[in-house]
Amino acid sequence: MSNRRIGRLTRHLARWAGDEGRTAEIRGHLDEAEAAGQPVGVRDAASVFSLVMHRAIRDLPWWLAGLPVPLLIGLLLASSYETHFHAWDVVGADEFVRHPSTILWMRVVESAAVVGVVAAVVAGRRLVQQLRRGNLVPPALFALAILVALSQADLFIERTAWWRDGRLRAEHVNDVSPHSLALFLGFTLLPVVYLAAGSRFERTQPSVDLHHDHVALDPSALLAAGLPAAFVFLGPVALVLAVTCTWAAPSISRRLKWATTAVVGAPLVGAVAWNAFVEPIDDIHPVVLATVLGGLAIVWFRIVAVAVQSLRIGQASTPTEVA
Amino acid sequence: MALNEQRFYILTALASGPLHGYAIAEEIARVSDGSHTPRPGSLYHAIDKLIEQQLLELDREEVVDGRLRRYYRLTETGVLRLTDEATRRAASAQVALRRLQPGLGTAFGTLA
Repeated sequence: MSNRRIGRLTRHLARWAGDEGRTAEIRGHLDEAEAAGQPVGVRDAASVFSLVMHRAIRDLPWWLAGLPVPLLIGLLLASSYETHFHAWDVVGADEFVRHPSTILWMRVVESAAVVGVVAAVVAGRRLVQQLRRGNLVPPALFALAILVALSQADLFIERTAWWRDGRLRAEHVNDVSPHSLALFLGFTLLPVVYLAAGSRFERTQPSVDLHHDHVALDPSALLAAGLPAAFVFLGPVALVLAVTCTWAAPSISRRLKWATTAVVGAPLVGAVAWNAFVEPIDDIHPVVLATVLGGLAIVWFRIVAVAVQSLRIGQASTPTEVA
Repeated sequence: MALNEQRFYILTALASGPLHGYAIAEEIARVSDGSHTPRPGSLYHAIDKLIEQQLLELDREEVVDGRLRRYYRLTETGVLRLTDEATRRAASAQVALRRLQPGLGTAFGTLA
């Protein structure tokens, strides 16, 4: 590529290097360099491209960088195994395990995991910045979301092993592995996720088309199943975030912090205790769950609003630290 | 935290007065005997960081031959920081030279 073309390309890249002033500044810089007999080279182009990429990452809001990761993983995992188990019910385990659509879907999930890792690296930089500024909320949210995603992934991987070994049995479909639960010892929200996801799936069961000897997975059905599941999946994370936000907000009194923790935590602990000692998890009525979750969601929105406002006030009044 | 080489040179280039981006790059090349020639992307990234750290600030803007020039200058904090960094580097260099002196003396003695 000639230097003229590289110069044109570099000037084009400068368009995204910042505001209009910065773009004009870089273009002026390149013009002056060329006028002084220093043609724009590949290293200059790479350098401007690197600036563009850096700005893109820096300007990415932390929630935008962080949230798609668990959302994507949740969506894919939820839709994949629910749809597949339904398909398995219809066509039988042997055919299901070997079917191209199963293998294809596994590849999609694996690819999503790779995308997730890349996104996590991108988000990680932003989260570290937030941590340095003393803002604990985004990293806490991200960590919790990843933990929940991992718990789902664990279930998924375990069941994938069953599929591959051809050991999938009906009794494995609806149980929750002790190993998964052990990962979240103390994470009391997990049973609620399963309960809520289960009740949603009953209403939005994906359709599976059977044509002769193959299963065609309908993408819209996957979305129909996956989206509500993904939202429900993130809901409990948001509830824990509510408590985290409250404790991170400097202007909220300790009494209110403890009250919030109790309001959010008590029903969840109760649900787990109920599941463990009173009734099997599937017997909790969806209406009861919806009421509890709805109430908690209202509390959550209120608390987050207060907490975010407090954090903004706290940040605005903090003198800027000079490195 | 110590300033990296490039940021140190940017502050050094601006120590004698406000300069625009291209002039900063030229000055760095001159001051460093050509060992540092910052590319535009890394130069403006470093400038942004230094502004973020309140070590630099925008002095003025000019349009010359249709080209926008933004002049940057050191802030008071920037001057203090550059002074600290230069002192620190000078002290480190002194230590290195002092330690080299006996070795150099021995070497010269051997040669002699």
